[in-house]
Amino acid sequence: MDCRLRMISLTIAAVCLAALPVHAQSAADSFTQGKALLAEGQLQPALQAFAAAVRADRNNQEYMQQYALLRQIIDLRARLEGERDAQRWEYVARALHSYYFSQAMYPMALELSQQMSARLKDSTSALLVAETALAMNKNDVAAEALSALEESQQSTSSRALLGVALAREGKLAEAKKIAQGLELSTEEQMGVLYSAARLQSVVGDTSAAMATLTKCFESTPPSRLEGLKQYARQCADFGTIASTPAFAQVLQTGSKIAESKCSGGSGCANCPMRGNCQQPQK
Amino acid sequence: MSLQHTRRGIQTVMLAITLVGVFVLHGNCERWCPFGGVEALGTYIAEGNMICSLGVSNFFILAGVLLATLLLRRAFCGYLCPIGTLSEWLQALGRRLGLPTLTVPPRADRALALAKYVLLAVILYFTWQAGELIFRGFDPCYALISRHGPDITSWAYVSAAAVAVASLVMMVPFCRWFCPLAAVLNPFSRFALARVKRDPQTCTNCRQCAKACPMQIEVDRLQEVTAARCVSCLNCLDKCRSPRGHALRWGPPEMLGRQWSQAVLVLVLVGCTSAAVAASYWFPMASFVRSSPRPLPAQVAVVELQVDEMTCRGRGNLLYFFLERDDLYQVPGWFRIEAWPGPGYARVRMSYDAGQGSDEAIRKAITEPYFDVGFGWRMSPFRIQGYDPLGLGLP
Repeated sequence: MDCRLRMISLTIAAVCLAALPVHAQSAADSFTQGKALLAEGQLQPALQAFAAAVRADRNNQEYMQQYALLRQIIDLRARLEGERDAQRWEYVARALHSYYFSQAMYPMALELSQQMSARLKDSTSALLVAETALAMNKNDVAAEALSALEESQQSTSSRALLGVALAREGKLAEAKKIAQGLELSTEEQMGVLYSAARLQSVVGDTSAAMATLTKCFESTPPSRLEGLKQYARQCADFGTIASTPAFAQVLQTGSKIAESKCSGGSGCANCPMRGNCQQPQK
Repeated sequence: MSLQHTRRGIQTVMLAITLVGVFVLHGNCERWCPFGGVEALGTYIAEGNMICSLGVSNFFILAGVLLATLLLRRAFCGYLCPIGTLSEWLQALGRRLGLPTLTVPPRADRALALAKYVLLAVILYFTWQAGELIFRGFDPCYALISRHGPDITSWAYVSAAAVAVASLVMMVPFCRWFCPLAAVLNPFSRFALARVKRDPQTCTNCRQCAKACPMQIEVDRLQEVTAARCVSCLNCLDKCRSPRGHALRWGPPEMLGRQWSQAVLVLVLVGCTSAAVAASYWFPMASFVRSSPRPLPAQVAVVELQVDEMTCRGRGNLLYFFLERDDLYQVPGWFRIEAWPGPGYARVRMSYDAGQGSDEAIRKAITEPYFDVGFGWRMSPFRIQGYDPLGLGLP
């Protein structure tokens, strides 16, 4: 009797132990499947796969958040069609573009940014078109979008990205000319500095690219720094310098600015701006 | 049973309660630290919120301890503080191990005793400036109660180890020289009612009382011990062996009576702290309060929520950030958050404009991802108990 009881207990324990990794495995599998479907632009099936992942592992915050986000994205897509308010339409379009771009859904991001550019005719949407086209290596599309900007709409960022697009197309002389004409002030924003560093790198001005990238990292809020560094590591425009020790040194650069608003991170304990968080502003 | 047996019994019970609270119940013991009340005072006066994960209970417990100090001197240090208890135990261990007990010369002792005031000033200046417990990472007490939490630094362990090693060969070094709470209590203790009184007629000047005093008070040279650093441990009374009758008594000033028993001390001490704990439950004031800067509506509706991940003031501000969103899930009209941040599901009372908002709008605003134009997508870390925003049949 005692022996049988022991056997039953051992069997139950073995089944429970075996079930743990299977359960985690199936949740992870569903999530990976969802990601793959998302990359193919199949949003509804991806949502179902994420839902399966959440059901299989209810405590996984990432699965839950990705599900909630995709569900809202599907909702926003439906709203975009019928949105009459111009301001609201732009907000929804930017939200969708941000999601598509972050999930590397570049064809959808490009189509949307081109829609935005056609409708809004502003430099911001032209920059979105160029950024997305460059990510897809459609350099002619990027160059076209930025060249179409009027003189008054051009900015340091748009000129830098145009230079990148031209350099990638082999028009190095034109790109170099743009690079030489870039005027970077000391108060320049991180996005502008990043684009300028890309241009300086593709035209072969390595030392200037390193210096600009360093300044860019110094101007980036602590909460966004790691993400930007990761982006820089994978950026094709830094391909020729990415393996150098100097580039590794640049990647060690720390932020020199304080956070201006709550970063919404995983916790306050290690938050770099926790001493300054009583007034989060939008 | 000697006076010291009673005291050690109370110390052991208090330490056990602390350890069970921290390691078994996983409670937020910082909420019951009187020094937390001192640290939170600046921010509470300035903006009406507690800092970090502290609660209004810190103020109640601080008030209770100050009252007890006004009556009994620093009896809190001698009977209830877990650091004092551990320090004394370590010193006893040091004696058992045959380690010498180092005595600091009186002048050096007086100079070192000033360190706690400097430390208090530095801590309060930076804490009130930043609105955060920025010295927590160096605090030996936090090393004991943090359960190796995410914001603990190796410095906390280094300082805890230094206190532990010093305690093996010295009498309560942290309590005497570096404890910032002692610096707060000392001005109250200086004018406290209870004191040790020495009868010079019966005293034989054997100095046993002075030798036994953990705070190095020269009891044998005084008629009344009014030193602020006296922790009312009554070691001196225990050690007094005057053949002509007891030379030491403990009690109020002579005009108010001759002596009190230790039971009075225990009753007052337990009474003050218990009343403080009870008060924090009877008057559950929110530790985080914030309202939207919109006109107050004619009709206000209230919804009580249990929100996960609402652990501290920073999270309270993040909750406000999600409620103040300007997208599809915007909460229309005025709203107000009253929260009791803490581990697990924390209580949050939301008031809103009954004419414009709804419970569901509040719940959605808290849990839905938000697109911040200047930043990108922000994911909400919050979950509401009993609310299934995903419609997946989850608890």
